Amino acid sequence: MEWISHLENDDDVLEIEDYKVRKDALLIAIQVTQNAINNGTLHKALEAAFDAVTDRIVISPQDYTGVMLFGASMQSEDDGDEFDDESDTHFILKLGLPTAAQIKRLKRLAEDPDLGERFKVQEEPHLMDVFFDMNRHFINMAPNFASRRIIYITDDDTPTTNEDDINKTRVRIEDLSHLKVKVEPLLINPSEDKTFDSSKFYALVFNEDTSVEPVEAIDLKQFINKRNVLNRSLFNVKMEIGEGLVVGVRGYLLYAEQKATSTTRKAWVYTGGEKPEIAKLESQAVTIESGRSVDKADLRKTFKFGNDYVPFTEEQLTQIRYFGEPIIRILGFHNSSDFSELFIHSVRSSMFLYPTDEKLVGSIRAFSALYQSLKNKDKMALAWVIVRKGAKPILALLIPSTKEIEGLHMVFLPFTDDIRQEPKTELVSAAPELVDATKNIFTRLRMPGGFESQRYPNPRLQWHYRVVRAMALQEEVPKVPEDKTTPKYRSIDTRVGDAIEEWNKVLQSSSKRPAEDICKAEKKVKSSDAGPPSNEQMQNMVENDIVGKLTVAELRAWGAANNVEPNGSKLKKDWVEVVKKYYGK
Amino acid sequence: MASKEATVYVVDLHESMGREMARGHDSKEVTDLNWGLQYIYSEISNKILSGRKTDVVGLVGVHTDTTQNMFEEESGFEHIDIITPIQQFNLDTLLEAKKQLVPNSDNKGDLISGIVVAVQMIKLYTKALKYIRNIVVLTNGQGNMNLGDSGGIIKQLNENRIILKVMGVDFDDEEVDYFEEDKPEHKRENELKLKEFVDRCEDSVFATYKEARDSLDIPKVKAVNPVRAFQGNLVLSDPEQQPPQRVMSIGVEVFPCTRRATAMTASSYAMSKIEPATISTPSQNNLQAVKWDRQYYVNDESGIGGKKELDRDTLENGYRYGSEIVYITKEEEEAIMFPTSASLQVIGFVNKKSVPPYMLMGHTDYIIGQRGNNRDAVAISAFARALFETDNFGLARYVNKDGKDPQIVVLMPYIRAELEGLVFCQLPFAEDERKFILPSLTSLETRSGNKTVTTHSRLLPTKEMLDAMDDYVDAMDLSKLKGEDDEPWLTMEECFNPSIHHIRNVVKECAVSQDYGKIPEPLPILTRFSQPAEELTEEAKPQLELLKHLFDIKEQFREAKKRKTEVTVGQTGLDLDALLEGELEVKLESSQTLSSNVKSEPGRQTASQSSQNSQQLSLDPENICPDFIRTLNKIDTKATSDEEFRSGATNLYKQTITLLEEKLESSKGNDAYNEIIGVLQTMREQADEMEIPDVFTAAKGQFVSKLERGDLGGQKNVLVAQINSI
Repeated sequence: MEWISHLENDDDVLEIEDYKVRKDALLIAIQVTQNAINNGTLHKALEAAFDAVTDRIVISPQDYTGVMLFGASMQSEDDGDEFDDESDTHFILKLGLPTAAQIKRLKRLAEDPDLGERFKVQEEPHLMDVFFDMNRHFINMAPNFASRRIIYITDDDTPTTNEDDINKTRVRIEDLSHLKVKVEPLLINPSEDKTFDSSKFYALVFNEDTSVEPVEAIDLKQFINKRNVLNRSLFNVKMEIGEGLVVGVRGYLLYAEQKATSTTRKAWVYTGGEKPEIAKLESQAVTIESGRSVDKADLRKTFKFGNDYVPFTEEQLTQIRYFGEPIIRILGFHNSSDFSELFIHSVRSSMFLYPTDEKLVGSIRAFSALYQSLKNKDKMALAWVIVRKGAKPILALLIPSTKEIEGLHMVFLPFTDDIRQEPKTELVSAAPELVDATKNIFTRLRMPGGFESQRYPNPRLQWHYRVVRAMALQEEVPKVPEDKTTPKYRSIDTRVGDAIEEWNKVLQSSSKRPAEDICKAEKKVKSSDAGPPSNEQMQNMVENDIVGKLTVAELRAWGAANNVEPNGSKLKKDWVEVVKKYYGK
Repeated sequence: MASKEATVYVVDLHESMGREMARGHDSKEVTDLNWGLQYIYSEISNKILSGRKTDVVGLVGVHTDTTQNMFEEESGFEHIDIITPIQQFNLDTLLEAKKQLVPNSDNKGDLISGIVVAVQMIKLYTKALKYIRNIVVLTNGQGNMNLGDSGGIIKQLNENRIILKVMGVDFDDEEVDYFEEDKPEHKRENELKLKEFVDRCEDSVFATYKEARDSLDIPKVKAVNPVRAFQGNLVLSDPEQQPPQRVMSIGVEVFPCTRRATAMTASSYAMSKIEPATISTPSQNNLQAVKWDRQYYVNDESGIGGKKELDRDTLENGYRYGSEIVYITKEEEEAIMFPTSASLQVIGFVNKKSVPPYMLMGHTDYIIGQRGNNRDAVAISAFARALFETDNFGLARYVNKDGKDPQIVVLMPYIRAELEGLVFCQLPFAEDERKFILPSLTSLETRSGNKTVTTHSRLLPTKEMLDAMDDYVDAMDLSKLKGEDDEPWLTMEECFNPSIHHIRNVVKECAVSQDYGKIPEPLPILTRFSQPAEELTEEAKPQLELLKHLFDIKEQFREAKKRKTEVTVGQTGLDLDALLEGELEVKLESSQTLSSNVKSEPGRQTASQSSQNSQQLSLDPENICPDFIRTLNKIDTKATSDEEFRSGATNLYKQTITLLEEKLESSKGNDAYNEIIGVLQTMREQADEMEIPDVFTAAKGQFVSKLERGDLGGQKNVLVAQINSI
């Protein structure tokens, strides 16, 4: 799981629950109806399923995905004339990590212009058998998954009118709920002027928690995306609103960086065998002195004082790290405006809190009241937080959400230890004319919608998967990566080209001649402790041949900032050599 | 880079330093010397922990019984010992020195000569090199002080740029209005003489020891030297396509603004083989440092131990795609490269409200104008001010180094007395933001989606509750705690990371005292924000009491839990059971009667109608889990006493196990394992909920012992292990 890397270092004691891999198994079940074939709904559904499969590979590489069709017999792929009418269900992708062959098969279907040829629609599909097959499929293919879901797509509102069949289907759906498989129906209006009537069948077979409201056209992709795993909570902890008033909350991660190089995606591969195989990694503790390998049982951990181990026992280490039981304890409330510094001193991604009545009945109601109160008053709560046993304490602000979901965002405050000093530089304030010229540019480039993450797919990750997918599915690799983060230059110049010209003029007249500053800066180099010399300073020093006066540390820092370093040995003379080369001397 | 530093501590070991006084929080009796050494030990410990070879320490004792120093031949330098010559300290050096840092009985010697010895030590050690030179003197001012040649000594101190710090135990302090009672006349004179002496030094501190000691109760934050993270241009518009005057380009440098500081981590070591494993207290001698050897391998039956060891260099970079492994040879790697060059390009501007703080993805960095260039500094100041005045944030694309992944960052104004610049932070990409659907906390939707419920006994608060919460939130307003100087209760400067400083303190104190039995408590300042301020809770008491009364939160009890399992689908968190209460019974009945003949397909065993008599249970072997839950609930509903329920449940558990046994016997290999484990897990969960865990344990035990005996078709160790982990 991605989030495991977010946990603090190995010192933290995790509860058993945290070790469980919480994976999601999603089965997309699509009913093949004549209407869906004719009006393109089936086509769209298959395309969306294909997108969902490939997206999930990118976003959650460990999750299982399956795609199943029902309601029609299907032409076999090998023999064009054969229809397989024995079975109610066709698993195009069995629940699991999809194989290239399965993905290709789904792709072929989604791209097939003559879907009508491929299916013979059944008059009255045996839905209870379809649900039972899904039941067995989950038992066999995805046991022990914390999250098991079916997205059930149909445009047929009356699969049967037989009361007995309706009741049987209802029991089969209830079976799934006992197996903790959540069914989310996506009921699509059969046509623009005919509404899907849930009351005929689906309202009768699904229980009251399941929304059976029909949707107009299908935006399956959005539907699937929005229904990302619900129960992937990070922790389940008590929140103390006041002494003696404790509610249960779960914590979620709404924002987590996805990287192409994370271990769930990247691996070392051994290609010397019959087929490529992921190399496993084993690490063995050995003593530094003698190289003797050490059994896990003989390993202990403790702190060091200089070079010496300080002999604390396991229990003492636990005691040293103990600051109380897991809790989110509210210390009081603040106006939102009191914490403007929050932006400047962000230290890590936020989490999201949502109540649960699992252990403490009444939690949801009390949390709701707190949420509403904070939101109406535009306030935030300050809290002392220990998210799980053995976790390090940290302070956080709880901010009521404003968007689609309701709950509290938990934004962590920095400790004074986390805040670095300001870099030392001359203090300059721009003249009002220049500020105005700058404002003139900014207001013309203001995006009315504000920041929306959805507008910026990670170009590196997308490119990575485009290439890997092309290799896996033997598709053609696109030539140029798409990058939506590149500024829209043409529009920028049209809107503010003139304003920038004006800005440059104002700036030129309002800043001092730089020459005198360079001399001043050069003097600063030697005594400066605020980092490496600037390139300008460095160039000056190269010209005067005094680069050797810098310390190795300063040279190294300069190198880091300019992406250069000597090959091989890294003595001062090597650095000086590199610097001179950099400036072409 | 931290500078080189040499420090000599001159410690007064006069007999009177052995005087005991009650001091500190707990008013424990402690000698002047031991009290005074706390500060010195703490400083030396910090140096040991830093591990810096260039932070060296020497120790000089004055009023010692013996005489060991470079001037011992000369008169006036008797009874001064160089306890430790200047060197990098470690724990052994410190413990060795500690033995000699005790009050002596021969009260001869001269403190000022001790300082002269320290000056000489520093001169010899540091020569003309660049060093920070310190002499720290600890004294109670009772011993002899000869200030006859003070002028010469001061000249020496100043010429060598030595920082002199004198810490006097129980010295008078006008600032805090402290005057020692019954102060001996000669101490008073010494204090005055010493103060005058110190004042004549250029770089000096004359402090009472208490000041120094108090500073130990405030954690020291490790200063990190700024290292530039980026240097380049902040650019708006396209310099490649546009003439320079139509491009905004500002030379900038980037420095870290926040970075998470980390606590000391425990490192692994190996217990010596000789030591019996039962001894859990490690001691110095039997520990061996370890490192981790990494070995790559693939399973290979012909290899040693079923493994084939692999050299890292022979492996290719691979990526998972579904269940496929796509590997990319070193030659092909070019193809997957995403070319980037170091840059900071402005994308546009947004209202700052559209970037709430919870969207920020981690630490932040400062952007300042290229140092030494006034144009850039002015331009950055204008950039910051324009953002501030228009309530905007900037969005930019940031590539830290050539070839590194691009980030979307938010540019925020940073306008302070000392600096005008920007601060930026990473924002989420589309893939980084997860969408969830969670039920609303303020209204409940009915299933058809066209009706909204705004009152609900368990899930939604009443008007009265909302009002009470509003009152509580007002009562607990932190702004009430603002002092006269308008300082908020919580300031960033006082928020020390408890883990970092506590661990550090414990390690220091235990190592120096060599007493590992007693772990010191965290400094009060570290846990200051673990509880709300008492002033506030006192005031908000009535409001809190009302809340507690209204919400009446209770531990989960069996009834509620059971119902929930029955009605809720999945894990939405919110269940609408109360809305359904009326229907519940009916539904249970109907599903009971139906559970039998559902599957129309022939060949599958048709479960007989589960009768109301719990003695004749019948579960569909193809659908054990759901049928099991249904039947158990049925038994629970029908039972009129706990005993009746228990006996019915016990019977059901036994029969379910029998069914699993049959399933196992009729299956091949491990085909049925997943299902069996799944059913057992459900049985266990249900048993926990129904508070009959022993019934499950007994049934499981019966199954496991059969498996272990091999009654169910041979060795099933894997299955047993899996079952035992449930």
